[in-house]
Amino acid sequence: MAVIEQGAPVGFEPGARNTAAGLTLIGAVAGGVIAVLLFAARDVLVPLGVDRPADPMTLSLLGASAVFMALGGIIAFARLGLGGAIALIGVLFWLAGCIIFKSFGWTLGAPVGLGFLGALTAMISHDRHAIVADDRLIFRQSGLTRLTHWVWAVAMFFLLLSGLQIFNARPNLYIGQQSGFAFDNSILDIYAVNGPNGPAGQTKILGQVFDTTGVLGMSGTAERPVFTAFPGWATIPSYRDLGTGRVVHFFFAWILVGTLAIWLINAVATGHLWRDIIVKPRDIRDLPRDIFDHIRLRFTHGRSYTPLQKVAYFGVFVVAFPLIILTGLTMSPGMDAAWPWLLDVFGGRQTARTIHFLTMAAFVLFFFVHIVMVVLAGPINELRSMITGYYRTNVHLEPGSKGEER
Amino acid sequence: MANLILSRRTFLAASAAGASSLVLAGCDQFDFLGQRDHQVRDFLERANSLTYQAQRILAGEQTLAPTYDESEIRQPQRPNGSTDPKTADYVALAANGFADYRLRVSGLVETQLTLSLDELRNMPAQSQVTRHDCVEGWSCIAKWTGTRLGAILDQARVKPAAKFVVYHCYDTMGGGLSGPEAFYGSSDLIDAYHPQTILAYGLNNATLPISNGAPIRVRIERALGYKQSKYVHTIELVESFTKFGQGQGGYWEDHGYDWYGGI
Repeated sequence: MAVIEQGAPVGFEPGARNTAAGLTLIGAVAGGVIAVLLFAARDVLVPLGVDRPADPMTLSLLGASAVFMALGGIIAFARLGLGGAIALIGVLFWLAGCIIFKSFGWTLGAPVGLGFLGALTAMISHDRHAIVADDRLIFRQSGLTRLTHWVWAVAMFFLLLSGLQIFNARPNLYIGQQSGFAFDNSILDIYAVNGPNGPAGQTKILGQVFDTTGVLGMSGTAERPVFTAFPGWATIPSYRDLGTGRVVHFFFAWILVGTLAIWLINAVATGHLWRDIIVKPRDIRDLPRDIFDHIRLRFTHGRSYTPLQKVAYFGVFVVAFPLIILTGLTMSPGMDAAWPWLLDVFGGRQTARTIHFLTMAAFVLFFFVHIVMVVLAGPINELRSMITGYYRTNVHLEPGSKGEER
Repeated sequence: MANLILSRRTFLAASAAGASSLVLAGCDQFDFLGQRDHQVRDFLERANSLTYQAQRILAGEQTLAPTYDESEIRQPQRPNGSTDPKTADYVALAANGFADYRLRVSGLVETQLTLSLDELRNMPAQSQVTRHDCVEGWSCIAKWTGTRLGAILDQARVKPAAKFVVYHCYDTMGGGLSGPEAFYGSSDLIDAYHPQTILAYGLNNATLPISNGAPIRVRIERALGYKQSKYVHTIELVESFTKFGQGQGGYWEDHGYDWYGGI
């Protein structure tokens, strides 16, 4: 890479610029045409699988998306990073429109795909060149890390909501091999009762009863109460359907396990696991200081994770993911025949089910802390590093330690 | 760079607005996955075939389901699904203590069999204390006594064309537009010939009660509860189960559960 005087303007490869802007503009035109047709001449779209009129909210989202993507595409010719970011806003609007319209077919999906590819090309291409001019910009997250991160985010979303659907079929957690019907070995029960003031939702944890009306045990409105453990907004589907919950859960379980396996092989082979995830004595020694720094909201943005970050990601990859996968398998009677040691390790099928649930709760907690930390540590920089791979540091970097260019 | 940062800030604010609209929309956005013939659901369901193949490879054909000590039987077997069939044939049989009950083995076999309850009981008996896992999530340990299905199939001599075993039952389920549906289930030949697969007539050292499937229920110990058909009257060897019910291989499978049922 040529040495360029700091702050000097950097020229972009025309190829990358044209590809990014071109993809985005084609997506914008396709999206705009579809939005206009939806509004004015819906009959034309019927053969393409769009069979319903769209409501004003959907139309305005799709329309705004086309405008943003067009704007992003044009701006990308002059400023790649800015253009890509604007196009990405358009992509998000388009997704929101599709979800509200409840249609994910090719007709509606194609513009978002093109817009996303264009926006991504623009942003990555911008950062690849900005790294030369900006000595604090480093390449931190590999392509595989970024890809698997977003796949896991989607998979965990569906696993959580379908898992709560499955839980609702038996909203009790037990300790041991079996569920006590003639005896009591439950540690959590969510149920509805008929109280003096009408029906109420209750949650019993280790013998302690809590009134959870409105959320757990009973939800919905006073006129139309719903008596499920977790409310409809927290489950897929929103109504009671164990069969569908299982279909969704097992599909995304395979996605999660498959991508984790690919990630793990790569992380071991490249040393990423040992270098960045495995907690070492040095990290334990530096942990108190790092915790103190975090409390004071003084964040170190370096090439590698800080001790507290390492502990968090160690907990996710080395503890929580294996735990939730193995306890999930322990609930399978087929797997209990294949691997009977699962039952011994986790102390029975019902205990495994309880651990599976508690690990889910730990993941939900991790998710909220994760989001809060991203916001506190600088959401733009953090989000950028998980989209384009490039991260702006705030520590002094040794020459040549900027990370590999890709 | 200042422009860039500003743009990213705008981008973030706008994407937050976009994302929150998704959250506000709520999860009924994914209710379409509940439509049995939706193409997205069909695609997701392929994972169930993957699970079936993977578990057959991992567990093999003969590995046993875990068994327990009799001291771990701490409660009666919890009945679920049908607990008291009301079909005329069944009510008449039950009134007579199942003396007139006959199990039929038919379909792709060299010799069709008709077996009385006494004939079944006089075949070599097998008992096992196993854990019954319901698809809903609960488990219950009980002792099951019966005749190995494999021995009965050997007696009937299964034709090579047979791929599945369909278990036809006396009970009916539901009562929708099409009226009550006859319960049935099915398994592959691996599950049917598995050393622990029995036609159970005894539960916890007593005669199998009506609530748990009298006079005969299937025990396929490496599968969930909905695969353990109760009140069985006919065992039919078939090449394909698509002509029964809605073609998914069982009452519960017709209503959205996966056919394999090992997870």
